Amino acid sequence: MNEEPVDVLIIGAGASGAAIAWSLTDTRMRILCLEQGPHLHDADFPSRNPDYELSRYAEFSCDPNVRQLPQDYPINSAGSKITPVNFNAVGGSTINFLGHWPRMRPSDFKTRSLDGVGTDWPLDYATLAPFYDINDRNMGVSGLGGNPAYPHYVPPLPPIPIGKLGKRLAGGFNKLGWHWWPSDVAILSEDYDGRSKCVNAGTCDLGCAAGAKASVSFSYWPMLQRMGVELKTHCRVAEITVGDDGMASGVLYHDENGQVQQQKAEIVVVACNGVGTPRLLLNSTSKQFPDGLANRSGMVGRNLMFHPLTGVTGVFDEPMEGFKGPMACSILSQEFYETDPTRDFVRGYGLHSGRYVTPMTYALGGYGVDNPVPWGTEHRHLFDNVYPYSAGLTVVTEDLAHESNCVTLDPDLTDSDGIPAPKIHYQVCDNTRKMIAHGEDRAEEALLAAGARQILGKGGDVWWRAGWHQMGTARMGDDPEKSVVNAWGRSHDVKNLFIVDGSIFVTSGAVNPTSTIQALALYIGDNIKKNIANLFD
Amino acid sequence: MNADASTLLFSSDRALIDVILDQLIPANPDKGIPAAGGLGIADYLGDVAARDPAVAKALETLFTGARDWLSGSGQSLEALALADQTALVSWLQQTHADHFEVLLSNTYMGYYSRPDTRELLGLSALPTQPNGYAVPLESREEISALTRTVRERGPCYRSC
Repeated sequence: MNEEPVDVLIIGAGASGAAIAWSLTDTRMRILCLEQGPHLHDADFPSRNPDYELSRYAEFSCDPNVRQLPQDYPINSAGSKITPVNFNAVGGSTINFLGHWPRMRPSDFKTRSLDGVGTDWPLDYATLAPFYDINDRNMGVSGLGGNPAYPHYVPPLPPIPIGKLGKRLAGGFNKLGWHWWPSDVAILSEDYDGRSKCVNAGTCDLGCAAGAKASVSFSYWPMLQRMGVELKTHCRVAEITVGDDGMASGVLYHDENGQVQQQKAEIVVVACNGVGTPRLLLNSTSKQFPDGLANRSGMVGRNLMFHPLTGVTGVFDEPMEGFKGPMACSILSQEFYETDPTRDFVRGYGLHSGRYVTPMTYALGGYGVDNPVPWGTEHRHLFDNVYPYSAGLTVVTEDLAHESNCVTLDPDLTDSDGIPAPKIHYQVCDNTRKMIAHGEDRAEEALLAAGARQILGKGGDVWWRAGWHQMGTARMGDDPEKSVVNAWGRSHDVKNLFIVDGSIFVTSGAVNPTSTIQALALYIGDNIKKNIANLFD
Repeated sequence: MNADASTLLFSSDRALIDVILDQLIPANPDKGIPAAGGLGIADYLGDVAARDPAVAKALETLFTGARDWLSGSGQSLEALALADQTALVSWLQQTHADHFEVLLSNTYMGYYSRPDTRELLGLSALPTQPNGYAVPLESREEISALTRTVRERGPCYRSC
């Protein structure tokens, strides 16, 4: 069945799809967004139910292989040290992300020039800075201006509380003379734009029923729908079609009844995250593009980067009340972010102080880990003497790009529509392992300086269910032989095809990527508008 | 195992199951915290087993093993000393590791997802939305004092 052609077709209603839609609304082009998941409303979120926590291990798990909902696609991560996690709905993974909102730093865009590793981006921090600012206003970002780890900027809202736990850890960092700062968060410290401020419920990963956390379903999409952007849910795109002229002509998608539909478009924008995007491109084969769309460089799916994580816990003498407040967003130290030639690794990492997990998550091994705590008398001891007194630091490392870390198509596994599923090949490199070991030692030092009487959790492996940040699999660059899209997100091979999600990252930085993903999407939208007269030249 | 069979198993073996569950999460009488068996987590396990055949199979295997262990011990359940109860659960863990992990995870989930348990551990018994928790916002002066040493060091990024 043929639908009426649209000017702009956006595939994916998550962070980047929503941001570029917003940017393009003033062009008066007809914009349609296809989303494979549903549009959830506040009553759909589990945090209003008495047994809300059970959802974390079922339909609101961050792991699609656990959820197995009709809109999810399976991911074969048997060959990976980290499994990708996501959410498929309007809002995408911002539904269950934790809202931590650091920007990338200037050096992240110049790692080759500065440190001799990776590849320089074809743009820099200063170019993106205005788009970070616009996006912060659209999302409703809270934070404290003047962070010396960045060129000056001021978030639009004041910071959320760092809490008892954050203050305790900040004291430790201060004793050591190390950098720390209250976290920037996409969580409201004040009522804003029709949304209510955060009530410190601590269920960010189960979706924020109040909309205080800026899932784009609560921030961008109400604006977009008022502006006339069309949204179709339960539509899973199987492939991007190509005309005889080599330009993208539209898509074939499965509607909620599983029927194949065709949607034609003048411009196609891919916004499916760092695993979904290469999957779609690799599934879009044709006579002109036998190895997948936009893949003449062979770079589609390659250079997959995550942020390998591990955690160190300190046990204190007083209850730390870590369950009160947003899960991940208290304070962030970037003392060890930049390359230091005296260390045995390049680039660096952040020390993130979340709050702490709830009793159920603690009992089951922690967030991102499947390793239940012991039963019996040891269990009683942990819950009486350890859990209430615990505070942790998460070591979030920069991941260097390696072509061998990649997304391919699984030859056997498919989703419920029969579309080949992605297969992940990912190993943690030696540089990261050294960084993790260094970070664990520094985390221990900080926790002890803050007054911890016992240190737990050192020497663990990277967390398994922690592949939130999926980057690099359709990287941007000036050289069509080594990159998939140009400096403003346009495919080198297909002039009316744009990619706007984390797959276009060239390096990963060591910070949560969503603020940068959205700033890039706004930047790409701005460039589409600037180049509209000669967009396909 | 269908729902009826699951219900039957859980009712006929209830005392044995409660003993096992009490071992997994023991009580703390000083704080008024009940053990898992005493709190009725067997009912939760029965519900999960009725919905999930894999869980039902794992639990059935474990509880059959537990019955066999008890018969082999020559003791009645009522006469089983605390140390023997621990030995029974340890034996289950060693001999049926995968099934035991299913039991352990589901016991933890059933126990710690209960509003009354959350409240005993200092959390709210209510759903977290819309009430949440009161967390005092630090004053501008307090944050300024806390960040003073960081600000005094000056910029710590590389210009490029």
